[in-house]
Amino acid sequence: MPAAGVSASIRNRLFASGALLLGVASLYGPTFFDLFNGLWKTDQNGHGPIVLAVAMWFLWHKSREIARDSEPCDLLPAPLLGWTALIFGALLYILGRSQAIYLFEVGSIIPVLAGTVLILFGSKTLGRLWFSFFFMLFMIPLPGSVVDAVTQPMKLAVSVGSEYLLHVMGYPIARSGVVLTIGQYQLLVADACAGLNSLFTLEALGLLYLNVVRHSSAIRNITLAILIVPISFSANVIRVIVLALVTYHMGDSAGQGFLHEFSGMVLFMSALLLIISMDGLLRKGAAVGGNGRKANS
Amino acid sequence: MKNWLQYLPNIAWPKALTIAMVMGAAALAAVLATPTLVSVEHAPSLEQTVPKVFGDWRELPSPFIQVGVSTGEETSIDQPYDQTVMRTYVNAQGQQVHLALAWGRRQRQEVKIHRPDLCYVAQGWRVLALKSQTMSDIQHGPPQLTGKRMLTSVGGGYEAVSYWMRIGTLFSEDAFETRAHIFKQGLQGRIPDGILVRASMRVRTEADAAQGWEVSERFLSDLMKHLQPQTAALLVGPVALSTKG
Repeated sequence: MPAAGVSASIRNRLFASGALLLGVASLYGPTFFDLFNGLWKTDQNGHGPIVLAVAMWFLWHKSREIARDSEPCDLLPAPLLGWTALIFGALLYILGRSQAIYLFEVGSIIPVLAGTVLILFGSKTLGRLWFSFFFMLFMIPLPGSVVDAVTQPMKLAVSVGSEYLLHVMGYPIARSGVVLTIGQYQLLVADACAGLNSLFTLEALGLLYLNVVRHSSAIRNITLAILIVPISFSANVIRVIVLALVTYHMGDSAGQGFLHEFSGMVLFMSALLLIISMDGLLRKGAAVGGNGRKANS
Repeated sequence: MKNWLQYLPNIAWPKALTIAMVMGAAALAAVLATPTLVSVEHAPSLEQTVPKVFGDWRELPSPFIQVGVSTGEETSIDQPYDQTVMRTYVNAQGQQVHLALAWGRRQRQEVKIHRPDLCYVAQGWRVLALKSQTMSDIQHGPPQLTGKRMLTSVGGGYEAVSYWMRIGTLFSEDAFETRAHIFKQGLQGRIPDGILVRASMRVRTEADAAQGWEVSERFLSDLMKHLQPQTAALLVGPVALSTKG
């Protein structure tokens, strides 16, 4: 009775997958519900949902790829390592969730999922999924004190840069700390305008770009990943300047209303353009270098 | 029609079930270990019970906008207070002191009172000096209450700030201490409350800072003398009630 055999196997698969899904949901359903209703609505952690979505998409995409071309011999479960990771992750989760330490609560998702993959499929499969897990690092909310310590100098640097450029462009601009005065208006460079939020989102999207474009040269990848930091800075300066000019020419309400939201788009568009043109430059540089070597030999 | 089912990974269900059970157990354990006890269930209204006239001081409708007590735009996480009071008082000599009280019933790792040194900086001020200061003449409070003195500036003006932060029974001096206290209380199933008590005075030069701090601290000391015990307990902790009883 082959038909009954197939359906029994499918029933088993359905049961196994369903149980796992339920387990993960019982852990992280409440976590993400809280994040979406709290922390991820704030300026400093607004990048969370984007990072989560990209990480999950990557996990799904890679899993299907593995399912398509994996041989049974590739599957070498590593139960010892896997269970260690899973138990460690579970303990981290209990501590983090009960004491409201997001660093532990959200961070535990990496050892929990990685442990599960190790137990069921082994380290080779985990190796092919590494990028998704690395990516999840970006969605872990850092303690507020750490974020503040890093954000503050970035805000100041963005304020100084914007002041300088607006001054060069001939606008009546003055700055005190992170407060810009342009004409009769005052702008406070808030966390959202120059925080870790945008740096992390851009770094995450930049890494995604690198992973999709798939350069063979490791140096080029690393250079571009590092360049995302100054690119994020420049994009933030552009955003603040756009906001300052909108406020100056069109009034306070325009600067604070719809156009404030729109300036987020300006940020990402200018960052993406900068990343792609940097990449183009690097490629050109590599090509010239390659030609030079050829000519020498 | 059941094509998509064939994409499901071929895994042994006993293994999957064990993993799922470990996950479920962790979820349950986390729920059970979450602290629920709050120390103050019925807090008096600060707005109503902090007197507008006391001793030498009376409230003044302020022409200045005070530096807010939060670090960012106001959402649930950036604005973790259940009660706030922002007032300006003036005494017979014409000295003006700004009072800021910010109380939260539940202090947790990421939703807790903001430190003034961060608030001021986030709102464009520079912090020129910040040092610990023992305040001894605080009625209802412990004999030696540890607070801070801070000097800030924006534009051409200075502000001398004196404050204390209480988290549960701890007068916190740094963020790490606060976190450790909340963590220890949490493991025992308790959620401490917390308050920022801040008095500040605008001064003309850096040299006037000492005077500004002294006036601010005298103001706080006077204020504590004129509070009813339940309100005082919010400012300096349950010590106030226990010494009464």
